[in-house]
Amino acid sequence: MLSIHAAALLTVLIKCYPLYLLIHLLWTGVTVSGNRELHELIKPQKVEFHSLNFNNTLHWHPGRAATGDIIYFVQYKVYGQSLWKNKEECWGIHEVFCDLTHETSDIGEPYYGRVKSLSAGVHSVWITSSRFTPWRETKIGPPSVNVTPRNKSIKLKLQAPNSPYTRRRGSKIPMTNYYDLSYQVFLISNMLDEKNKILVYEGTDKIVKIEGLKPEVSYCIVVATYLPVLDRSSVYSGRKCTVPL
Amino acid sequence: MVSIQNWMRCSPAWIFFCFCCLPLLLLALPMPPKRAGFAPASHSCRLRKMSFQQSYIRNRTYTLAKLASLSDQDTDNRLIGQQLYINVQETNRCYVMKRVIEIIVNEVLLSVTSNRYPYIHEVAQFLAALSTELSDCKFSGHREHVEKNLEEMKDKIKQLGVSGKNKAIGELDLLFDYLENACTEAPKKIVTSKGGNKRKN
Repeated sequence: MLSIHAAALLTVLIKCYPLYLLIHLLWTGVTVSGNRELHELIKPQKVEFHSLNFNNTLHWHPGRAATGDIIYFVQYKVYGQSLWKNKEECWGIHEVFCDLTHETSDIGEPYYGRVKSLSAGVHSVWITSSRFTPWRETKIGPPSVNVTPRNKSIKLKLQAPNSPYTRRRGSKIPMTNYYDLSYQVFLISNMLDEKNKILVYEGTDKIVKIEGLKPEVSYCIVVATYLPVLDRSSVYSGRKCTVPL
Repeated sequence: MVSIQNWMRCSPAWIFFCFCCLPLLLLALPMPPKRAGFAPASHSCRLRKMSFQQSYIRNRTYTLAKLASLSDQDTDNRLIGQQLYINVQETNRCYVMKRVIEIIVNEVLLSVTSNRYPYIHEVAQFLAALSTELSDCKFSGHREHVEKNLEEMKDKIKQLGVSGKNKAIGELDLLFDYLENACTEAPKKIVTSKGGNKRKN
């Protein structure tokens, strides 16, 4: 008798087990998310370095439920160190970015940055960026361009962008100090149509003369910086136009 | 003792040893004294700058490293860093990096399942070729420090197990740069940034 009862009970348990499991899962799911809710919702998203000419800034997106009272804390370190350093200027800030140019100035070293948020007395966990090595990842800007019209030609004066670093005397160190850069000069033959670009010069000269042009016709040029070692080009410089004499 | 003294007194045998066997022994081992004596360490510890100027393999190495480093959550432990050069003269740095390549290629790159990592064969081949180019690169001076630094790196990889290998792959970009800086004639300007004039303060 007893064994029959036990067997019946067992079959009921087995039949109902999936249901029980589902209820259990739902219940724990609800309680856990209830506890974690605010942590999770204010957690910074997409923590990453943005870098142009070694100006290195940590950026992030506010959490999914970030409200006005949310503030952020930033730390950084060199990969391999065990201690994180506080970035004092970005300790309890409202902005969603933090300039770490100084802290990441050893350009061959790999760095990490991390951010946590605080809202209504609740801290999020730290969210860490991916490893960032300035020399490998910085974007190089286009050169500054000066155009002077000449006899059936245009003379260009090109200057590489500066790094944020300065010499002892105070002058800025150009990016050419850190990379072998070259310039790509494009002539826009039809003033209105950017797509009709012709590569007219590629090299390292700072002064470039484009010859064989028609006088009294307007020409525009754009220039990009090219980084052979990484096979990367900058965005184009602003368009500069002139009329050869 | 007695038997040795007896043997020493036995002069014909002694003379035979001095005149025939000793020179033969010395002839058989001509290399070690030369190496230790004259060969400057830096002489064959050089790679052509050209080897590093192909953006193709450089970018593939960087891409592979980036991918692996994304799944490396451990930001405290690092394999390729200045600690490899502790108590090592600058002229011996290329030798150190040659040994590091051998370790990473043999114990990491050739032993992981390659389908997890894109380009890993290409990068391994590239590094192996450079280490072959450096086959004549010898160390000058005392080696204990180098061996100790390399041992520590190996131990770290072993301790971390699977994630140690992943970490090593995640640092191939560092390996590439360190190798370039240590072994090419005019190191790329990554090094100059470590000089004194870069900071504002």
